Amino acid sequence: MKLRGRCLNPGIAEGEALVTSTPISFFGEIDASSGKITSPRHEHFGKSITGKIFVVPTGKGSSGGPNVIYSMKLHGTLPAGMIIEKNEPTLAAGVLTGDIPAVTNLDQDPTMVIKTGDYVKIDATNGIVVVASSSFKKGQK
Amino acid sequence: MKLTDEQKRMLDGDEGLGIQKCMDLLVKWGESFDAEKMAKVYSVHSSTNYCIEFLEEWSEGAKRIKCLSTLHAVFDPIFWIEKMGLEFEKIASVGGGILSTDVLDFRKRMNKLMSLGFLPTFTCAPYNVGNIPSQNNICCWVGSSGQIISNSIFGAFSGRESVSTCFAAALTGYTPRMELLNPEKRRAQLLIKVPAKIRTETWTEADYGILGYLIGGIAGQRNVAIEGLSPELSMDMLRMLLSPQPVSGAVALCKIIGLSPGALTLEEALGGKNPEEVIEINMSMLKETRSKLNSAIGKDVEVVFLGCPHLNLTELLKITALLEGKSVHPDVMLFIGAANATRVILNEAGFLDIIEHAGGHVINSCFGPFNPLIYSRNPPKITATNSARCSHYIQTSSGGKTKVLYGDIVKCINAALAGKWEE
Repeated sequence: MKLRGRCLNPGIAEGEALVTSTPISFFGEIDASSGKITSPRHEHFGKSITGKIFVVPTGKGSSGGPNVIYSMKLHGTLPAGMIIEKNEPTLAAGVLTGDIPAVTNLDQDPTMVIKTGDYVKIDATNGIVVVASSSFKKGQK
Repeated sequence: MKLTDEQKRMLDGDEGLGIQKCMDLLVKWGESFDAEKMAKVYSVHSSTNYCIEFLEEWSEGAKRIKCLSTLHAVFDPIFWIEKMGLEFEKIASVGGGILSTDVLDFRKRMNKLMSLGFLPTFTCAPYNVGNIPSQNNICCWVGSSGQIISNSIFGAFSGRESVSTCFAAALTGYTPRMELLNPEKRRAQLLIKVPAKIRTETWTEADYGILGYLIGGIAGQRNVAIEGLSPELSMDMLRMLLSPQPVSGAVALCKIIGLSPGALTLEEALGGKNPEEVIEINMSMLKETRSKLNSAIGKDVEVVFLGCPHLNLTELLKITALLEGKSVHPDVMLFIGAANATRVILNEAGFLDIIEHAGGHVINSCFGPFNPLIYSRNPPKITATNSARCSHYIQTSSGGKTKVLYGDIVKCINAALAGKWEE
């Protein structure tokens, strides 16, 4: 399956997808040192986004998000890439600050068609997302 | 995006690697929202919470910022740890070193910001201390209360900024003209009607906070117009009406008909179109909202927070008069949030002595998302405040463990003196 969208930040990335149906605020919801989701109300509470292709509907919340993302960069805990259904200023600023390859505003809703565990390749520069089936685990490309 | 020669030079690195990085961020950010050009920034209001690595990397080669840039409320470890004796754990998990307890690190970060020309205002209310935009001025401000106030009271153009885009705006003097910086994106979409039978003429600031918290929850990200409020509302009431709207929702622009710039009439506020939705406020809606803000069952207050957003001189004079010749109850701590410059005026006037003799602390900290007491090892169980914004953040930051008693300044000060909350 191939999705097409807009480049938010250029680059190439691949990895296992972690898909969330709720808007994300890096500030207050992600621990920079471990890359784990710390909000108890989040569907993926306790899971790490490090090295994943993090798929989110949009951003929300505090303007402090880019500080958390920059801190994740220093700790080496950033996601490999991001797919954002609807672009949002604070999240976009964070993605750019952390230099995470990211695609936004796609032709299909990525939070619906991509499942957690799918292996996903992003060519953010050209706005292309390629999704393998969920049976393709990391290392079995 | 179409750039001027000056902007192109910054992007090409002619002014150093830091400014190149800043301009690259602003160009990519703007292009992702279809901005066609940059706008000249009137003022920046910046976070203080950058780590030193960010500050050095993103200002490499830069000498000075390019527009008025004030600094946000701050976590001062010298006050909270050395003076108040607060203990903290899990500091690193609070947003990338936000509440850094290291005094040397704190001084290093502040000195770096000030060497670039950022002003040590240390407040969430920059409009109280000289960062005052005029109508249509472009503002890049962190802090959602400042954003909605600059848009709705001053008629400035203030977008949904983040810490890094504000820093980049200060270093370059520009920001992409996108979202709320475009006049056509400023039309009110949701109309809130306050009927005459709701007697707002008797309301305190806490009542306006309840209305604001209710409106934010209804509006989400939409622009709001409110019909039925006095066009002569004071700044004290307006701040409490506006500041909760970005926490119960994500409102950045709320036009009070007859008062806000660009909203002298309802038609003007709506841009000549029909609103997407019209909601009439009733008493049961306000009662239900009040119960969300007033979550405590007990009456034994441990901490009183006033100053979210930071107080102005009118509010501080009122507090001084209430505290004069009295003492805060020994089991209660009273924290009053205000800018450094405001504190200097209070001190010169002799009012700071009155507050401090009574046992109150005037401090430049944030009592919103970064409330130091709530993140300390032993957070209080019952607090009191006159701010809907503060009540929201106390409850969400503590996971509901710290309860709030909610009422106006007079009730809060009386509770601080008596140690008990009286309805």
